[in-house]
Amino acid sequence: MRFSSLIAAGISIVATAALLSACAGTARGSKSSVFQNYKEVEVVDYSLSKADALVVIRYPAIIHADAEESYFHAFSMNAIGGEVPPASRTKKVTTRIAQSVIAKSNYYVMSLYRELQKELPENTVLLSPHIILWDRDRGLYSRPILAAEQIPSVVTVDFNVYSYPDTNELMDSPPVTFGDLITPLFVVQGDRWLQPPTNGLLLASDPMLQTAWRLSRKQADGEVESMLLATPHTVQRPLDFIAFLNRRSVRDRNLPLKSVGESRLQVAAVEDYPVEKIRMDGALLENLAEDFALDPFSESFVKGAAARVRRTLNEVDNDRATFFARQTALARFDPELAIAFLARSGGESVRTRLQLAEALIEAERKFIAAQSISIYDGTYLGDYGSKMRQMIEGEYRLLENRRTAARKANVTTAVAALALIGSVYALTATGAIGGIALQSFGGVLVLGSLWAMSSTLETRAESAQMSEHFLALIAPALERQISVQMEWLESKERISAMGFAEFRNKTLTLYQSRVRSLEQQYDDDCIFDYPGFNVSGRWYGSCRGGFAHDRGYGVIRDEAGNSLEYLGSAASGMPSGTGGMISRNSREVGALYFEGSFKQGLPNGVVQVEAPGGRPRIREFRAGKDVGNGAADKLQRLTF
Amino acid sequence: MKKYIEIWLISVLLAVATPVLATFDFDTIEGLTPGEQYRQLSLLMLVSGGIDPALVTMLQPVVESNPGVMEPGGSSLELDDFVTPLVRIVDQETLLANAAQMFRFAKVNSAEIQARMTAIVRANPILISMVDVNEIAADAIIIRNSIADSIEYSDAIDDPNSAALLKAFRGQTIYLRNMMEYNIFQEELADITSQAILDLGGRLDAYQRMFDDDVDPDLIKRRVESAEIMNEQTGNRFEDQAMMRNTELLMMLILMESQVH
Repeated sequence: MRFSSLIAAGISIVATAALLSACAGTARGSKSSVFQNYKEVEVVDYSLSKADALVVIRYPAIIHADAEESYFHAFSMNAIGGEVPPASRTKKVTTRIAQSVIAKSNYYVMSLYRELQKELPENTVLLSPHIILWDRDRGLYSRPILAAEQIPSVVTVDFNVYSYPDTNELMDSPPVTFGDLITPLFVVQGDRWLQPPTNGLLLASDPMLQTAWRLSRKQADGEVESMLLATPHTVQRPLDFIAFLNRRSVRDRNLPLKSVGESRLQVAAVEDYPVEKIRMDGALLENLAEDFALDPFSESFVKGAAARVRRTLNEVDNDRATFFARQTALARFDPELAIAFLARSGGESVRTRLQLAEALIEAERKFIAAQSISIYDGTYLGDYGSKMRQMIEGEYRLLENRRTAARKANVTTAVAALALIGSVYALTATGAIGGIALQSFGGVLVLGSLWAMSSTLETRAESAQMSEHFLALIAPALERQISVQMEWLESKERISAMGFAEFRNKTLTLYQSRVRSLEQQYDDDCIFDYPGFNVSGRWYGSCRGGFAHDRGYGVIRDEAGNSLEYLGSAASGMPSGTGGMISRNSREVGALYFEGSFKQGLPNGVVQVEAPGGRPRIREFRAGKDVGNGAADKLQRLTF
Repeated sequence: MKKYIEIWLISVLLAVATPVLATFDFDTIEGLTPGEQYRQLSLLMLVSGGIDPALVTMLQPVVESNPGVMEPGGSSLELDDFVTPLVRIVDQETLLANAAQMFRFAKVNSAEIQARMTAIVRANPILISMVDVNEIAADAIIIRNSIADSIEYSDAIDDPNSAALLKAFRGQTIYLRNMMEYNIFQEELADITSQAILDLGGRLDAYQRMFDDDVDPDLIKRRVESAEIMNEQTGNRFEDQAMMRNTELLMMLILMESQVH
């Protein structure tokens, strides 16, 4: 297998030239993110489970060779910030920018990881690097390299940076990530029970909203399907960004949305995060290669974004958010216990076996946390991080230089630069040279060359020739380094996977040798009915005469695609007693959530209702009909 | 002749089960080493933990028939004597009377016991850090089971609440056992986890060094392949162990089935 490396740091050097021209004229960005308004909060984890992580951060790390062409094509087709003209889509220059997005995402994501890890309990923040793949059926997609997403987590954050693909349009100020400018893309989501009305989607960057919504809905449907058929949970959500590039989602104007901010946090809607081109503090970039104690990206964006994530962690019910993820994790190695778990049995035999099983998941979490730290150390603190900082500093200095030139001279300078950069990109994009390995060059040489190019820009003359010479000189060394880097990544992935498999083998052996039998038997195929559904569903938990009875979990879906999930008490095959219910209508956006008292399948008594776009309301129901306000003190909450 | 031997044996057993020292007051443990004091106090707490007062009341008739037990220094059994099967077989009345005294003592002096334990921990941190809590818990489980079994065969079982009280008492003992087993499990799991993290770090470091020192794609490929083979062998080893366990289990089942009753 051949990988294209994440450490495509050099690409950004090449991208420098292209972006340079635009930056000369439009090198502006907002000085702070909309997230900067979020107040710092201390996270208090009241969850009963020790198994769960608080945050999993997913990002594009590497790309498979077979997926490169497809990725480059999709990157130019589905641009953020404008439409790339057909003539520009096939340019080699676009591929370099596409690669730089992966390379820089690898670097900048570490700031978010560090910031969250610093504030949250030990081993509760996990990294989930993804490899981008392609096949004929699915098109472009991604899968995680590590097992981080198998660990139950309260929230999952997708992060990457972005640059507009077409250098010809850069004068129109599209989003870029270059020098002191950075455009982060961000999605925050969780399990469907975390916020049922939005299928668990909490926040998404504006261009990816429709995709994120579609993925969350698809994920919820897939999980309902696997519970309905009692088949292993196999839904793997690709990175939202990759799914966005792969296929444009049909625009749905009825999505429940709200703007970023603290004022409407309780409203069950998705926060619409606008595309921000943030300008980092130049003073922190001037000597970034040597002094990176203060991270400029953290100061301008990450601290605020991390505060936003922490606020979510404080406001949601962690046990509710991870309940089904824990059930899925248990089902992987102890299916019998996974069913008993759904019954939320208080029996000692279940309690003690669950305690052992959760300790096992907790151990896996610690192992993956150690892997995450290793990735952080290798990426941010290691050679890669060092070269990236050199490059970002170099980019910034070039940018500043162009800004100065633009101010001093006139627009002609920038236009000339634009013409020049096209030729530089064209040269770098031909042959076997990948920008991937430029990072192997000494910083002095790299920066020296950049300065040389910069000077060329100013003189307007012989620039193309000089760039050509420069690239011809470094070509052989690049080839060799690319090969080495790929092997390194491949080995690292394989060793990590091997280490985890071996570890899991040992812990499962220990678990199997220690578990005792369960006192009570729980079923996974009893009848679950609901008024209005002409088919029966499946019930997991306690049963009587083949029908749902006492505690458990029921799921049902009709031919039209309407579905209903219920966790709680039942009698005669239908919800009865205290429970929580998610109802999805195939023709409506989102889902409704009811929590409280049920009788003969229907809400009956005081029930909390959560609907898309609204705040949670406490209502009084009689036989399923809403008859007015309910008394909060009479609400019987479901204990997860 | 046989009858005389039986009488002699019973006399010996009773003598063994009636030590001179009384146990359940502080004076009797004063002279012991700090470690032993700590062990005895811990054991007392674990044996008496979560006892329903109604259970102590239920044992009152037994106490009344052994009035001396409740007097200071009147206990006729040491804590560790409860562990011996002989006591249970020979004199259940004495055992239950002593158990009732022990429960009451532990309840009345709970604060004092905890204060003494804290003082011992503070004065002897290294010594106490080496105390095996699981060993104490294992003893406590045996003692609690011996008490529960004795109740079943005593007149106390005629109490209308005895079934529920005994069930709760046994339930707490199972809980104690589960906790003990969880502790052992967690220790082993922590060892495996730490070792795995160290191994992984070491392997990645080794590979990293390899790349730093000398770039040789063929060597790298060979190393990765070697690691894969090693991993495969590790998997095989575990399979062998699993098979051995399975064989052991089958052997145990065969032995159980072939027992002559």
